[in-house]
Amino acid sequence: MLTQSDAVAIATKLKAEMKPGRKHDLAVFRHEGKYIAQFGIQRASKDKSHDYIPRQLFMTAKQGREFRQCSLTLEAYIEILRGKSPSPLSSG
Amino acid sequence: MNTSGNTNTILTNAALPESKMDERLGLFTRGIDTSVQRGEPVFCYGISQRMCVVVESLSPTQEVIYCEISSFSPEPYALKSPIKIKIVGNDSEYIASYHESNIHASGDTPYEAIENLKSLLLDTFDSLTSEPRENLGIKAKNQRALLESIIERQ
Repeated sequence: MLTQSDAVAIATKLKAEMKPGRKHDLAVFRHEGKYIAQFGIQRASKDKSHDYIPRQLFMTAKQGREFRQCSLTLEAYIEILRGKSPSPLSSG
Repeated sequence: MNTSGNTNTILTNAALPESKMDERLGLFTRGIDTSVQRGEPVFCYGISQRMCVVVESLSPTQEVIYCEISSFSPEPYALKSPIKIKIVGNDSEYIASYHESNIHASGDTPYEAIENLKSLLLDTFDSLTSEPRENLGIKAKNQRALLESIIERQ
C-alpha cells in the first residue's frame, strides 16, 4: 500500500508543486514548465491509502512502487510518459 | 432492478445474492442512513439530496459500490448534471473514483471516501482552471475540459 508518507516522497521525487486544498494538498507535477498531472495527498492524521496515485500519474501500480522505492528514476518515468500515445507530456 | 415509482435510479445489482445485498448495503449505509431497505434507493444525508447506491460485485474482502453525486453543497460550486462514481473497498478502507477524469480519493468509510473525492474534484478543478490552457499537457487539458463540462462556480 502507498501511504501518505509514500505520497509525500513521490511528490518530492517529482519536484511537484504543492498547492493547499480543502482536505488534501494537491501535488502538481510539471515537466518543462507544463502542467502534466496532479494528485491529492490527504492531510488527515491517519496514514491512509494513496494507492490511486500511480493511476493519476499514468503509471502502473508496479511502476508506482518502483518509483517510490527508487528503482525507477524520474528520468525513466518521463521516458515512460514520452512513450505513451498520446504522451501526457504533449500539448495535444 | 426495477425502481419505477422511485425518484432515484439503482444502477445495477447484477448477480447479487439477496442476503449479501442486505449485508453490504447495511455495511455501506452505517453512518449514512440506517433506514435503508434492500433494493431501495439510498439517501445519503450531507452528500447530496439524492444519491443511489448499490453493490455491483462482491468478494469476501472487497465490495464495489456505484453511486451518484449531484451536489457540492455547501461549497459554492454546482454540478451541471449528476455524475456517477465508483467506490471500491473493504471494511476498513475505500477508494472513490470518478474514472472519467482519473481522480480518486480514499476514506475509512464509503461516506468519507465520497466526501474526500468531492473535495478533491473541486481542488483539481480550481488548480486546472487557474492554469493558462497553453501550459497544460494534453491529459491535463482533457481533464480540465471534462471538469469544466460538469462543474461551474456559483
